[in-house]
This record gives sequence, C-alpha cells and structure tokens, in this order.
Amino acid sequence: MNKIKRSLPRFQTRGALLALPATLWLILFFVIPLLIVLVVSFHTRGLRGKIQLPLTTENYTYVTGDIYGPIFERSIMIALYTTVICLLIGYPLAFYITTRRRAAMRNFMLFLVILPFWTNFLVRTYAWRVLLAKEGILNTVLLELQVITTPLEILLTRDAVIIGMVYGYLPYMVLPIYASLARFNNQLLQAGYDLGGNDWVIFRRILLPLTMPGVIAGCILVFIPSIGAFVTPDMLGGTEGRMIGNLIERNFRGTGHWPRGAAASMVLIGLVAIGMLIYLALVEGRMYGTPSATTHRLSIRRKIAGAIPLFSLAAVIGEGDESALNRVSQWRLRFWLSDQWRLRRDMALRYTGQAALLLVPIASYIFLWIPIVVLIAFSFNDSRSVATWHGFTTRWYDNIITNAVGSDARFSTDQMLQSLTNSMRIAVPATIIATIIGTLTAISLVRSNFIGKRWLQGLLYLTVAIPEIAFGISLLMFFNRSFTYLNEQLGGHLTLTFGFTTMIIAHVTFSISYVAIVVSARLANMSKNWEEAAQDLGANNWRTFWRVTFPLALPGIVAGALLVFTMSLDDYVISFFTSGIGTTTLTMYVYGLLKLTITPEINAMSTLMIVASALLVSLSLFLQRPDSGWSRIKLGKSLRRLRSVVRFLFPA
Amino acid sequence: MTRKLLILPLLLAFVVLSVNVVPMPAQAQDASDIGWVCPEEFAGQQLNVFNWSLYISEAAIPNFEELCDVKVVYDTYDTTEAVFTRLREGNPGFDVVFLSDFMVTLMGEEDLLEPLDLDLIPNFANIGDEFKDPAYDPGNVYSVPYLWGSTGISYNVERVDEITSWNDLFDYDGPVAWMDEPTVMLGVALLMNGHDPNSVDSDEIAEARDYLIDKGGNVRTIAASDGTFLLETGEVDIIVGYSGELFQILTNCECDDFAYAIPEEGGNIYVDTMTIPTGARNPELAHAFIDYMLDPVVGAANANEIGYASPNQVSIDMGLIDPSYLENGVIYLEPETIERLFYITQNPEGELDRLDAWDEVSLMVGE
Amino acid sequence: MIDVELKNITKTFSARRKDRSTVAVDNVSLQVESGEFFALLGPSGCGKTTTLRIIAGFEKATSGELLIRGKAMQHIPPFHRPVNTVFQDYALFPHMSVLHNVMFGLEMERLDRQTIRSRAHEMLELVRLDHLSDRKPTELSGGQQQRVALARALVKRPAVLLLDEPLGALDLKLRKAMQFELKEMQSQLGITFIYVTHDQEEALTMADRIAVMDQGHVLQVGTPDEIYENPHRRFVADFIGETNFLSGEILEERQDAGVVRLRTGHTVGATLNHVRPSVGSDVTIAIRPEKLTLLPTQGNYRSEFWEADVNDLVNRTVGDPSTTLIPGILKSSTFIGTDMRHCVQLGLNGHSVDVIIRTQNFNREIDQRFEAGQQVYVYWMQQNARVLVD
Repeated sequence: MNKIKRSLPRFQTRGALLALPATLWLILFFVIPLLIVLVVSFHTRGLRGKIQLPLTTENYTYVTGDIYGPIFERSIMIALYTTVICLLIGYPLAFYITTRRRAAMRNFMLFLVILPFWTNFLVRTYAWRVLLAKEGILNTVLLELQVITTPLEILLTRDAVIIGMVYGYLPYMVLPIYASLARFNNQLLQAGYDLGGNDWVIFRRILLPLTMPGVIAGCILVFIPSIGAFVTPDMLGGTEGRMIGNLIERNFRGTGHWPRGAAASMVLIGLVAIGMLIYLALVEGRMYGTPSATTHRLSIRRKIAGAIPLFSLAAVIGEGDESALNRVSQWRLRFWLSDQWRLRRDMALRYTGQAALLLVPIASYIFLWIPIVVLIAFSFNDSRSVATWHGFTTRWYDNIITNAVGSDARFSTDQMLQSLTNSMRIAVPATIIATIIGTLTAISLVRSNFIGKRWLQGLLYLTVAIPEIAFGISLLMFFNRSFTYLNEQLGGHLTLTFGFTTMIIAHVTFSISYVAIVVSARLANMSKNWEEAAQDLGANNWRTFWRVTFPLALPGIVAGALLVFTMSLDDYVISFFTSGIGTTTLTMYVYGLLKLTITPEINAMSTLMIVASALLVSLSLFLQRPDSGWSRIKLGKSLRRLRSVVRFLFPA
Repeated sequence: MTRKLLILPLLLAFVVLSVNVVPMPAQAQDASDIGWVCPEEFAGQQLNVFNWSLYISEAAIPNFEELCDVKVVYDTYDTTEAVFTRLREGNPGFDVVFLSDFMVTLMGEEDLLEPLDLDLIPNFANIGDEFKDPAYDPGNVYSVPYLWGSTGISYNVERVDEITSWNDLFDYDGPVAWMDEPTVMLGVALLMNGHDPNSVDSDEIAEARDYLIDKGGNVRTIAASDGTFLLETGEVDIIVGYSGELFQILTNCECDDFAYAIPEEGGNIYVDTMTIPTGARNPELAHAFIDYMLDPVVGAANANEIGYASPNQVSIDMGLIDPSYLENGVIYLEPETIERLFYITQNPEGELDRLDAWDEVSLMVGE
Repeated sequence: MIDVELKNITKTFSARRKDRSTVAVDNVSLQVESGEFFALLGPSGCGKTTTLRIIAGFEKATSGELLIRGKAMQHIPPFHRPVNTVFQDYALFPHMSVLHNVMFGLEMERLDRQTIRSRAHEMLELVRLDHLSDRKPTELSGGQQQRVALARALVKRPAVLLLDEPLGALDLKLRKAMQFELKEMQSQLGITFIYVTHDQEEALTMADRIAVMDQGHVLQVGTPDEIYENPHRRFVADFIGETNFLSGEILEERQDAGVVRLRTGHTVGATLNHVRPSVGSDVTIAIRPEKLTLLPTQGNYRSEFWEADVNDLVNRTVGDPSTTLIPGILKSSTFIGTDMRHCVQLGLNGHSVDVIIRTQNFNREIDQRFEAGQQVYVYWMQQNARVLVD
C-alpha cells in the first residue's frame, strides 16, 4: 500500500481554491511590484535620480562587477553563518520547549523566545551596542573576571553582525522547528532506541528526518532574508560588516541610483530563485508532499544533498568520495567494534547530549534576554542617553503614565503612544489576515496538487527574498500609479489614498509566506488520517478544518502568527513607503528620533509592552488547565470541586 | 493580540498605583505667552505636518492647535531623502514638510514644492539676513529656514589633542567614524584638495575619492546618523558629525569630555527648512503654521529645546535664546567661523560621479 | 436488499510518467447484501484498501459505478455517505478526549447536546469503555483505542461500516476476542460490515461472504465454505488455508470429473467443477492437507472415523477413479498441537512431488507408528481433489 501514492483528486480544485487568495494577493501586490523592480533595473539613471530610457543591461554589469561582487559573497557568507548558528542553537531550544510536559510550560517557554522581539527594534539594537562596545558590558565583565586582558573588539566587526543577526533571526528558526516537533510521537523515538540506535543515531535517523520540514522552513526563513539584511549590519557592522542590503538601500535612497538598486535586488532574488529551483528539484515533495512516517534513509540523504546547493554546504557534507567513506568506516570498525567501547561511547554521547540539551536552552534564553535586561535598565536612566548610564530615575515611566491617564499630556509622549496605537492598528489586522491566507495556502500546498502549485511555492520564497527597500518603493510606485488611475475612473466619488489600508496590505504581502512556510512545516508532519476520519464521521470541509485540522495545526498557526506580529511591529522601510497621513508607527517614530537622540522613554515604552504582554500571557496560561486547552467538562469539574470545598468550609 | 491592547490601560493603571508618580515640571509654555495671533478662521480644520520625530518643541503643536482651533496630524520620517522618494510618488496630503536645504533645491526643481506666499508669512522678517535668500533657495521661493547647524568634527578630548584641521582627523591613527553623507565627505575631500566642495568635475571628484580611500584606513564605520553613540561609548575617538548631535551628548553627560570643531579649512552648514509640498490640502493653514513657527517666542522654544541654532534674529535679539547656547561654541558659531562653512548645492551634474565615488569609498575604507 | 454495489470499478493512480501508473483496482464488481458481514481478503497491495476507500469516498474511482443503497455515490463527498470507517491506525483525534471523539460524528449531525451525550455514553458502554471517557486516546491501550474507533464509527448508526484491518495491531488473544466481539456486535446491530483483512483465518471465521482479491482483481466471491472447499483459482486455493498442488495432464473428461496423469506418473481422478480444460492440456489438482489420509503400507489402519485393512483398501482402489492411493516416502512429521503435519514424497527421483498431510491429533498412538523414511500410502477421495486453472 505504501508504494501507491494516495491522492485526493476531489480536493484538487478545492486545493487550488484555498490557494487562490494568496495567489491573487501575491500577484497583485507582489508580482506587479516585482515586475516594476525588474523593469526599473533595465533603465538608465537620469538627472536627480530619474528613471529614464534608454534600456540598458549596464546596471547588471555594474552590480555583478568588482565593487558589488565581493559584497554579495560576504553577504552570503554572513547569512550562511547566521543560518548555521541559528540552527545549532535553535534546534535544541525548540526540542527543549516541546519536551516540557505541561502545555502551559511549553507555551510559556515559546513565548519567552518571541517576547524580546516585541520591544522596539532600534532600542534592542542599541542594547546590543551597549553590550558589545569596547567599553561595553561584555568586555567589562570579561575583564573583571580576568578572562581577557585586553578588551575584545566586537562592535563594528563582522562578528557583531553575525551576533546581531543570529539574535534577530533566532525565532524564525525556533518557531518552525517547534511547530514541526510539537506533539511529536515519542513512540517513534522509543522504537528507535528499541532497535538499538544510540542517541546520535536516533537523532539523525528519526528525529531529524521527521522534523526536516521544520528545519528546512527555519533555514529558509533565516537564510534568505538575512542575505538582504541592512539595518543590523549598518548599526553593528561598521565598514567590515557592510552587506549587499546596505548597498541596495543606499541606491534607493533619495536621488540615488534606482536602476542599480533594482538590478542588485534582482540579482539577489535571482540567486535565491536559482537556489530554490535546485533545491526544489532535489527534495521535491518533501516539504509539501505527503511524508510517510517511515521516511527512508535514502530520501534523507537526498534531502540533505538537496539542501547543499542552497546552503553551499557541499564541501562539508557532500556525497563524499568513495575512498574517504571507506576510510571512515574502517576507522569505525577498528575503534568502535568492541561492545565495551560502544557502551562507553554511547553513554558519553548520552551525557553530552543531555548536558547540551540543558545548557543550550539556558544559554539561549540568557542570550535572548540579556539585551532586554540592558534595555530595561536604560529605561531607568536619568539622562536622555541610551548609551551611557547616568543614574536612576522613573521619570520616563512617569511621562508615559501621566500621559496615559490623561492628567498631563506631553506632546512627545503623546506622539509615542499614538504611534504605538498606530502600530497595533496595523499589526493586529495584518497578523489576522496574513495568518488566515497563509494557513489556507499551507493547507492547499501540503494537502493537494494543482496546476501552478510549484509556481506558488516559488512565489512564496521570493517574497521572503526581495529586499525590503526594493519592495517598499515598488509598492509605493504601484499604489501611486493605480490610485491615480482609479481615482480618475471613479471621478471623485471615492478617493483612494495611502493610509492604514495600504500599510496593512504591504504587511500582509510580506507575511503570507512566513505563515505558509511555518504552517506547512507543521502540516507536513501531520497525518492526513485524522482529516479523513472527520470526513468519514460526517464533517464537511469547513467543520473538518475547524474541528480537526485547525486544532492540530495550531502550534504552526500560532508560531506563524507570532512571527508575523513581530515582523509587523519591527518593519520600518515598507511601512514608511506605504504610509499616509496620521499613520506613523512606533518603529517609524523611533527611526525619526535618530536625527536627535533615542531617549529612554522608548525603552520604558518597550519595557511596559513586555510587562503587559507577559502579564497577559501569564493570565491566559494561568487560566489554562495543566494538560490541555479549555474544556467544558474540566471547567465544570473544577467548579464542582470548588463548590464542595466551599461547602466543607462553610457547612449549611 | 487585540486583548493586548485592552490590557495595556489596565496595566498602566496598575503601574500608576504602584509607582510613586512625580509630576514633570511644566516645561511647556502656555499658549497665552505667545503673541502670535491666528490670522484667519481655520477652526475645525486639519494640518498635516511631516517632520523628524520630536524635531519641534513640546508645546509648539498643542499651542498652535489651541490658537487656531485646528487639529495637527504630525507624521515623522528618518531621512529627508526618504521624503523625496515618498513625495516624488505623490503627496498623500502633507501640508508642511520640513526639509534639509539641499533637498529644497532638488524638490523645487522637481516641482514637488509649492512656491510660498511670503505675504502670508509676516514673521519671515524675523529671520536673520544671512539666512535670507540662500544659495539653496534663491529668493526663498520654496522655503523658510527653521533651524540650522553645522557639520564638523566631534572628538573625545581625553584621547585626542585639540582639533583644528581636517588633517587631524585624516591623519589620526585611532578609531574614527565618518558620516554617511557623500556630499559632505566628498565636499571636505574636495576642499582639502583645493577644489570647490560642490565641484561637478569628474576628475576632481575622482581625486577626492582617492584621497578619502587613502585616508580611510582608521575608519571603523561610516555611520548613518548615530556616530554620536560610538563617540559617547568610547568606541571611536573622533567622528564627523552634526553640531546638534554633539550637543545632545554634552547635555546627556553634563560633562566636557567631548568637543566640537569646525576645522580651519571649513565645514558644512546646513539649514533645515519649512516647505509646502505640491498637493498640500490646506496651503493657507500651512502658511499660517510656518508663520507661527517663525514667531520669536515659538522659534526660541524650538531652538532651546532641540539644541539647534535658530536663524530667528529677533529671538536672539529679544534674549529668548538660552545664553549658554549662544556661547558654547557648538550650536551658534562665531561669524568668522560661519564664513568658512559651505552649503551643499545639489547640482545634478556631478551626482552620478559622486554616487560611484562614494560607493567605492564606503567599500574600501577601514579594511 | 443490496447495500453496496460496485459496478466495474477501476482505479488508476497516475504518475508523472505514464508507464509508471498503477492500476490499483481493476474492473471490480461486487454486491454486498444488507446486514451482511462481507470481507475483502487479499495480500498487501491487492487493492482491497483502495476499494474500501472508494466506498468511503476518500478515493474517486477512475471509472465504474458505486451504489450505496441504490444511490449513485461517485460524486458524493465522504461526509455525505451513509458509511463510516474504522481506520487501520484508528485515526483517533489526539486533541480530543475519548468521549469527544465519539461525540464528534453526532455533533456533525447537529443533534441536540443531550442526545449526543447520551448516545455517545451508550455506545461507550457497549464497547465497555465508559469509565475511560475523559481520557485522551494516547492514554489508552491498543485494544481500547480500537474499541473507541469502533464506537466512534458505530455511534453514527451507519448503513454500512467499513473496517480497514481493524485488528491488525492487536495481539493474538485480544484479536480473537475482538473478532468474536465484532461478529457479535454486527449480528446484534444488523449493520452491514465491509471488512478488509489480509488474514484469511479472520475472514473465514467472521465473514458471511468473502471476496478474494489479487492485483486489483476480484478472483472469487463466496461464503467461507465455498471459498475454502471450492476455490476456483489456484491463487484462491493457495491464499486460503494450506493446499497441495499436483500438476499433470488431463487424459479424460467425464460429467464433472476427469482423469489426470500426474507428473509423478500416477493416474488419478479429480473433480471438474468450474473448469472445462480440453483433453491433453496441463492442469493443477488442489487437495487440502486434511483431506489426505496417511496409511501404513500394511496392517490395519484405524482412525477416528474408520478402520480398514490396508491391503483391502489397495485392492479396492485399483481401477476405481473415485479414490486414489499412492505410495510414497514419509519425509518428516511435525507436531503442531491439534494436528500432526506430515510431509510425504510421492513418485520417484526427478518426477517426485512433496505433499503435506494433516492428521488430527486424536490418538497419538496412531501417528507415532509412522517414522521418517518409512514407506507409506497416501489416500484421497476424488471429490476432494479439484482441477484448477492458474
């Protein structure tokens, strides 16, 4: 039976229908802007940065030449390091979270991963600068402990960029892996042990292959966007850490060289597209297919091999030349043959593994929260500086609080709170819409085959790949031109203009693929049997979705939604170019402060946001029953229990 | 997520109860202190302002709202270049946009700005003569000056000897940060090679490029707008930066560890201006707002709170400007120093050469 | 009344390359009577599960017609079909309690809460799991999970219950008990069961009728008795129970019997029920091991049922095609509890064939008389030897 690929022909059209919202949305708001970028890239730069004829390929020659070439290379290397380190940290962390026994604990741990990212992006990055500076906290501590004798030079180096990017992208690795690990069937591991596999074998042959969809999704969501990153390299990297994103950003700035920026963007997108094509050709159907629980070792090999062109790991793993493999196996034979040795080796492996599984998560949480601690500390700084400490004050909080309760409105605080409200007005609907569309897309991609499915997949990856400045400006051009046209057509009955709607549209556009990729990773690990069982019991597609698919895919959906919300809060560039009147978001506001100085008031605001979120989440976790979600029976039971306690205490 | 919004007020209330609230000293002026009178009946109208965040005094907007009985929507941006891009693709409804000097030239030429009616801005007379009819906007067709500052060298006095020349920066062997302003940096290099800082000659620009690459070995970063952070934390010893930035850290630390210098060869002067973009919905109110901002009292408050120099001669003459600011040598400069400063004129001729030159400079220094 | 009818159902799984397409179900026609316990029996990959999934609605037949209670079902989605399935791995919803799993199907019918609850409890009581109704499926044993799956499907009171190897994961004892229970439940409820299994014993014990499938084809449909006693095809005879196959050439044809010369050289009589092979063609004779009798070459033979002098018997069979007695050498005897299993070589070098003989372990003394290597006779009656085509 296994050989026959089960298919659901009846769902084909429905699958395509589920993918329709995303397809239409992306064609309208992504493909058209992308085409604009493409067209621009072949134009000539005129005076004052105008885009004009003649058409030329010179921009491509320039951006692939001596000046940009090395930067492309460096960007890919930095992205590669970032991805590998994120994976090495993220996997144990995700594993640790999923193996917490109580659901409330799991949710709490997961939340601890994402919460730091609900602070403002710039103050977070400033905290890293305070940590990494020559006279910063890290060096001070290390010098004090006499670990080092001269201060480490980290800030304004490539290492700082990698640290900052690992930090920023870690959730994008952890959440997909978490989603694919959640409710992992432990029996499979036990079966593996039972068959004599040691911990490493179990990890490599069972756990890793089965969570491969999550790992792949995580790597995609870290690697692709990190090639084009520009704020982190700008703030932490200095001249050494400059990446292609910085060059693209500069070309698009003001009267820069848009065609050149567009060409560089297209090269970046092209690189990602080529990588994706190779990758999809090799691991076809793995991520979006129907994986059987008994994934064959060969297919895992193929999967790893498939990841190689993408991650340029060919040299590291590769298919290896025969002789090297032989040498390894001989070596194995000679040293590991005796049972005594094997037992020792396996025990050593187990202890190392256990230690790593405890230490890596602890270290990761420290890593994730240290900048937040710094950030919070500076929210009490008695100065307008977020760089040097000048004493303790609560005045930044007082500002916010007095403003919030309305007794004494300060313009600056009012602006900040207004911009926070604006951020929420965008992030909340964008998260809801993107999560819905992305989830539908994931379901259709994983659960059905339809014409154009590959194209849609490709499109999703490209939305992750496009540099945000290129996307923001092309969306601006697209909206502006279509609004001009439509307003003419409408003849003044209705005037379309920039505002919250355009910003939400933009945010949804770059978020759909994140949700789709994360939820796909979850669904790929989920047996279709449950959905069939529900249908068999009379549930139509709608109810099957809500009663079975949705609750089972929920870890993925929640993970996707969390990422979208975080991205939406953090986004500056795309928001700026799609904004209208009265739509300044918190991130835009804080960027605007760079002209003067970012004040600790932003830190205080971020701290309050963290505290508020933490309180809210703790409340919801507190309300949840220990082992599962809400259930009426349980509520009834606990009420009854409560009543009996009351009766016992107060008889009659 | 929505619940998060709901809980926020609750939380704030909670914090209010637990934290000892110390009311802020009322630093905002009262609308009644301002002599300016709203010229027309604007009641109920809306004014959309586009500016850097908090690049205005705390009270300016609330007072204007009170005086004219209007609503001001204040949106913010981070760079004036971004505004150019944004407005080139249509004005979503901004009435007043604050712009850097060279951007006024550019956007004027691109028809992105409305010519001002100076008759509606009587307070324009308050502006000092040296700021009227500037090179970047002859005849003040599109703009009136708001605040000004200079670009020079800020440095850590404990580590660096007194700086008098750009050579002190270029020949320094410790870590330094330049600024990511190609026109300024190339302008300085052109100056050092004996050329016009706004030169459009390809060869001269190439010379300046090579000069910078040659001198850029000690550059740790080319900072976008936050070089002060690096100076403040001791990461670098010297930065090329705005006077206003340095003033911020001097105020923050209440110390004199840092100093600012306009080198003898010269430096850059910049003026931030107020303009009305094409497509403004309410140009009349925009004119009124600009006039209000040029009121000596209002203008002085802006300059004092932000720490930038005011071009409003009447404010200075009336003694409304914080005297310490006038004397500290960072914000307001001696007339002979001002003479050494050059404006950036955004001449479209040399743009591409500068762009390419700066690409190479920024990729080759510091390595 | 006919509950389920398949008319020329074919299911092809297409692959990207045409030549890799597989025909999982090939022109299958079946009729399942109301209230019947119908088994689809066959080896792995024979198409039985696909057939079941076509009935359930998870697969759409490439061609052919499916009627349930007389209504065409090809275009009806699974959730509108009056059938329910017990899945091979149960597919219990891991995020719902046992009770909610059982209630799920009724909720889909939009019954009122009270009815749903009481019917679910009723059903759980029937499968004796009511005390575990708050548990999660993962907290149950295999047998308990199986019964929840059954309860979940049955609570819907389907016209037809489809069971996909439901006992596959259970241990032998539990399996036997569940077989009995299922059968009991079926006769009690009067619901039509279509039961997919590869276990012929399970099919024989439980089913009213069996359809034997191989490579997408239905080879034979019949009662267990018919299937066992009168297989039409060599595959059926081979798959159901144990069978000795003797090949030879048909010499003569009579009313419903023929004379066959075996490869070993012996000429024997055999029944010709369903096949009419032409004289001179190659045929196979199938004889069940328990239909063979092992006799000593001399002396008395006494079994449970009859007693005979061997010499008499030899004389009697000569020239009588209705009985056969062939000499052979006993190669081995194996004790398997209820039975003894003997292996006898018939014929001589080059043309020999081994046959298996089972004798009931009713008197061990009889069997103990035989020793490996000993000369023996193998005896059978014509009606037990059937001529088959491949």
